[in-house]
Amino acid sequence: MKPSTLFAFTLGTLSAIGGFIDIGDLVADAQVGARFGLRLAWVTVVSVIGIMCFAEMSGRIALKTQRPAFGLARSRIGPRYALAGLVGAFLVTALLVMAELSGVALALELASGFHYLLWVPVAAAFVVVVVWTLPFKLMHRIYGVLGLAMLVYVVAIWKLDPDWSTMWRSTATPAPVPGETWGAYLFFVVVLIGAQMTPYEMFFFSSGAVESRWRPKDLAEMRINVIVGFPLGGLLAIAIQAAAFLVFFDLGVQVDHISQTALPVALALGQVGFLLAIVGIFAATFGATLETLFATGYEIAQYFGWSYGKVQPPARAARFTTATLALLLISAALALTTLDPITVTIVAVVFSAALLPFLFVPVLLTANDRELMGELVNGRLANAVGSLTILFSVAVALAAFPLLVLTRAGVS
Amino acid sequence: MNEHVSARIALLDNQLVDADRRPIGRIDDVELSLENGTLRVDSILIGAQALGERLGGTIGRGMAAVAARLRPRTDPPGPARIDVALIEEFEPLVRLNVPFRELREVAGLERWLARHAIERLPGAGRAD
Amino acid sequence: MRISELLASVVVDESGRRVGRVRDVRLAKDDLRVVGLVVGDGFLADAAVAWGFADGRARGPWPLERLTAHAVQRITFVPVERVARWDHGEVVLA
Repeated sequence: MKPSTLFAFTLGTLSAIGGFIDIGDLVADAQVGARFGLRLAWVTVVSVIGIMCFAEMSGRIALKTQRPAFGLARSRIGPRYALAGLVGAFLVTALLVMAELSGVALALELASGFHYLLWVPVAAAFVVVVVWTLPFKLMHRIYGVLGLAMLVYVVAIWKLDPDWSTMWRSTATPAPVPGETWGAYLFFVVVLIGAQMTPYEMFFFSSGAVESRWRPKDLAEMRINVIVGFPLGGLLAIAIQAAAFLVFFDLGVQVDHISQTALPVALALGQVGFLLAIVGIFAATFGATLETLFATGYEIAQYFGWSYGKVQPPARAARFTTATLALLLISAALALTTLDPITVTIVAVVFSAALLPFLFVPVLLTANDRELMGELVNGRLANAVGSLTILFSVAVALAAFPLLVLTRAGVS
Repeated sequence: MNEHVSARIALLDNQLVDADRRPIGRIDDVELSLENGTLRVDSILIGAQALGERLGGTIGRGMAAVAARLRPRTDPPGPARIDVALIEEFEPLVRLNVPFRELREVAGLERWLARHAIERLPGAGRAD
Repeated sequence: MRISELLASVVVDESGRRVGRVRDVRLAKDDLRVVGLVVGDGFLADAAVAWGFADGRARGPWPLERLTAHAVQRITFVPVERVARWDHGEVVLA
C-alpha cells in the first residue's frame, strides 16, 4: 500500500465512523441498550450491511459517471415519485438537523453548564462559519478525527468489566425482555434501522466522491473506506448499546436525556472519559449536522439540476446556497421551540426509515445500467444484498407508522 | 437501433450544462414540432413552469402558476425554452454550445438570488 | 406538442383497436427527428422502459427483472412511417 493510499484510507475511514454515529444513533442506541440490552444488536449488523451495500453502489456510480447517485433518479422513477421522495427527505432532514443542532448544543451545555437553548443559535452560526470558510476535505477530516473520541465507549465496556456470557446471551436472544411487548421491540427495530441506515450517508458519500473528483482508478480506496468505516461505526453503535445495558438495564432507568448517553463512560472512566465522550458527541452531532444539511442541499440541487457544492464560489451556486441556508435556519428555529430533541429524533428516524425504499430503488436501478456503468456495473453480490435490503426496508417502511401509533412511539 | 437514442434516457429529465459544463437545470419537457409531416425536437423546456405543467394535478398547476408569475414580463409567455440548435452533445449530459450568461431567459431564480442575496455576502464570489 | 403529452398518448390501429400506450420516443441522433415509438401495455410497462429492461440496458436485479418481464414481452417498436395521424392524446396508425 502506497503511503498516500494509507493516508487516504485512515482519513476516509475516520470520517466514515464520524458519519455513521449521529444524534439518532446516540439516542436510539442508549434507549435500546437500557430497555432491551443487546437483544437488538442484530439490527445494527443488518443496517451496517445494507448501508455498506448502497454506499458502495453510489460510490461506484459516482466514480464511473462523475455524477452523484441521485442524479439519475428522476429519469428512472419519474419526476413525480422523485419529487415525493425529495419532499419527504427535506422534511425529515429539517427535523434531523434540528435534533443534531440540539445535540451540539447539549454537548456544549454539558461542557459549560449554560442551558442548551442558549447554545442553539451559537451552534447554527458556527455551522455557517465552518461551511463558509473551511474547504470540503479539511472540514470532513477535522470532525472525523474528533469523532474518534467516541471510541471511549468501547474502552468503557472493558472498564465496566461485564459478564461476557450475559452479554452474549442477550445478543443471541432476538426477542423482547420480560415485561416488554413485541410491539415495542419491533418499534425499536424500526428506530434503529432509521437511525443507522441513513440515506444521507449514501448521498453524502457519493457527492463527496464527485467533489473529490474520484475516478474509476480510485475504486479500491472507495471500497476500503466502505469496508472499514461502516463496520467500525456499527461497532461503536453496539458499544453504546452495551454501555447503556450495563449501567441502566438492571436499575430500570429510562434514557430520556442526551446527557445520560455519556453517563456510562463517566462511571467507567471518570472525568477524562466524560470529557472525551462530550468531545465525541460534539464531533459526531456537528459532523452529522453538516452531512445531513449538505446531503439535502445536494438532493434538491440534483432534482432540479442546479449547480451545487463547495468546490465553487457560493455565488455560482446561488439556489443551492440559499436552499441549504434556509434549511439550517428552519432547523435552528425548530430547535428553539423547546420541542424535546429526543422525541423529535425518534420521530425523524421513523420517517427516515419509511423513506428508505424511495431512495434505495433508484440507486439500485442506476447501478444496473450497463451502458452507463460499463465494467463497474452491479455484480450478483451487490444485486442480491441490495435487493434483500430493499425488501427488508419495504417491510420496515410499511410497519413504521402503525408501530409508531400502536406503541405510542415505543412507550408501551 | 444504434443511430437512435431514447428520448427518456438521453433528453427528458437529463442534466443540462452550459459550454463550460456549469449546471443550468434539468430538461423538464421537450417541445416537438410537425413540419412537412416530420415530427422533430424543436426546443427543450426547463424550469418550474414546464415541470409543473408536466406533473399536472393541484401541485403541478400550483408550481406552474407560481413560476409563470415570477417570470419577467419582458419574456415571451410560456415556459423557458432553449432552441435545439444550441445543443452541442446530449450524452451523458446535455451540453449546450453557449455559456450560461448568454442564456438570459433561463434559470432566472439562480440569477436573482445571486444578484440580490448571495453575492452580497462576504467571500461569496461572483456569479459570472 | 410536448413530449410529456406524447408519452401519455394511446396508440390505436386503423380499425381503432388499442395497441398500447407510448412509453418512449426514439430519436435520430443527427437531427433529433422522431424515428419511432416504443409502445406497450401491462403491469409496470412504464417502469420496464425507464428501468432499462425493455432495451437490455439493465439485466438485474433479478426480482425487478421478473416483475417487469411480462410487460417487456409485450413491448413493440412502431416505426414513425406507420403513423397516420398525431391526434391530441392519441396516435393513429395506418
